[in-house]
Amino acid sequence: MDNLATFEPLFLPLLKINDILYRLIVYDDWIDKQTKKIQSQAFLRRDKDRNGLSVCIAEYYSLEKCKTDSRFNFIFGVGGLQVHHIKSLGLGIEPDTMEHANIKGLPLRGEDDKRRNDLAEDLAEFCNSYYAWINENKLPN
Amino acid sequence: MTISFTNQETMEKGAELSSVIPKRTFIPKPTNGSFRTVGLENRLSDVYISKKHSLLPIKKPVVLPKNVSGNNINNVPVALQPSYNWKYVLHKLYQPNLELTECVNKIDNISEWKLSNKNVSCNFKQGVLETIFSVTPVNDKEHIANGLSLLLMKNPRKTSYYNIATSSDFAGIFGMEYPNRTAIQSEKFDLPLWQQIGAQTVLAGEINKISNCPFRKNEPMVSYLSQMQHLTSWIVAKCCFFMFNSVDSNLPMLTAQASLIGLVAEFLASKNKENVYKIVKSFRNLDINNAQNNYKQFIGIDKAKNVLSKLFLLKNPEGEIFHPTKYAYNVALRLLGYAYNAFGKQIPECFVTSDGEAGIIIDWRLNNKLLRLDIPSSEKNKIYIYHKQGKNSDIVYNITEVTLIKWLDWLIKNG
Repeated sequence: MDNLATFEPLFLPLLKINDILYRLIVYDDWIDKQTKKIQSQAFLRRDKDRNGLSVCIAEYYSLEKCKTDSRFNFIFGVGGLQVHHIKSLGLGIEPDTMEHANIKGLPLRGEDDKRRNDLAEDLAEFCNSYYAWINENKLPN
Repeated sequence: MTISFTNQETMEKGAELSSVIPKRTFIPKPTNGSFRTVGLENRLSDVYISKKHSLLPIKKPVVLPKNVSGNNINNVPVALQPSYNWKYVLHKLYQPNLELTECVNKIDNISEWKLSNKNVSCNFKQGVLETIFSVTPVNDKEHIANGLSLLLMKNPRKTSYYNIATSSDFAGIFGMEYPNRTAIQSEKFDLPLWQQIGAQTVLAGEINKISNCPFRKNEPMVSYLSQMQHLTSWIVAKCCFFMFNSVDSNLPMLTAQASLIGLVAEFLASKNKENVYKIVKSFRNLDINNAQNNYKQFIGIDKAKNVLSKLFLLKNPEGEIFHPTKYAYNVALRLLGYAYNAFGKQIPECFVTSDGEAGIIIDWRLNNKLLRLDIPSSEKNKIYIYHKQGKNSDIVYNITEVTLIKWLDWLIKNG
């Protein structure tokens, strides 16, 4: 998702507390098949998430766009998070393009594993009411 | 029965016991032999120095050396004094919630015990696998006082064996090339297994006082010899149990046969090596042909493999690595296999996922509790267990099989 930031934007969106951010799920097992709930593993920040946990800004990057974006052949779902939920956890959000932002403040592995998991659990808890299952025909195996 | 002691308590109790335990009456005869030890834990506060068939108790604690090789293996600590250590070892083995009685009950399932004046034997059945082992005491007081030897075959094709020497207050494990008294590296084999056997061996003298050892029901302790019968049969049963339940990948080659013919072998070694060979040879031929089939009995590993197999079905999209590394897979297999062997169907279904970086995350959820085992892709990062109940959560590092079992026990039992 980092490749969304392909150019320097002239200005960045100002996020309101009710804005929705999409977390694109690249691994089908990060979604519970029965409850359709996004698992907390999807919110564990990894080494590749250098700038923070990658999210898309729903206002400028709709679900339809997620579905039709040819760059994402392995997107199995989209989890929605409200800005105020994220901020209530003490996390920051920094947009880097009109469509994309990074959630700041999530520890990497080895930095603070307890907080890393706690925050992932909390984010998954907030995320469960926003879900879209797309690209079902692209499920491997 | 839950056993939980701090090391401090153990030390205090050990000091207390040491004043009332009668001193050993036999005089050790140092020989040229040398043993190789396998420690119970990395740290041992109370170990005793021993040479072949010799115990030289010392009062100062000895730190187990990390690397012992070559000619320096004499004076390697191989013996543990249960009166000092048994609670400590119990603590290490069963901490804090794994009940000893669970293990005992499984041993109690052994059927068809046959007891005579000269020999004790039984059939040990687990599924379709049947193990026959015998306990043969030697009517030699000095020999018994120096410890009984339990000979276990690791890989009969290579004629290498492991020997467990034990008596009521002495135990040591060493690898050897029979009949040569050359210590060999046993770490490559299955260190956790031998740690456990060692601990069990040490504990045997104490365990049979507090648990329902099979022979106790039918056979009164009428003599020191019968006590040793009792003790060694218990140890053999314990060893079999751990062999059946170990998950080390080398174990397919470990014959399911266990016998105390090592006792005889030890005795005969100095007199008639030919007889020893005969015994060992007949022992060896019993079950090795089915070794690979025996492997299927390790259901824990099979279950663990099934659970982990789906990780390999995933494709790796650009920028993501879903397939686990060999390191992560092996660690997960070992830990999960051990857990499934310990708990079987009691373990709730786990949720195995990739962490996207070639590591493995395994989640168990039950009621409002979460147990997460996070295995990184390499040794550079730490394995940890994250556990959460309600709003309370914490992280545990230094994960071993025992640690995982402890927390699975927490997940299943405590509320």
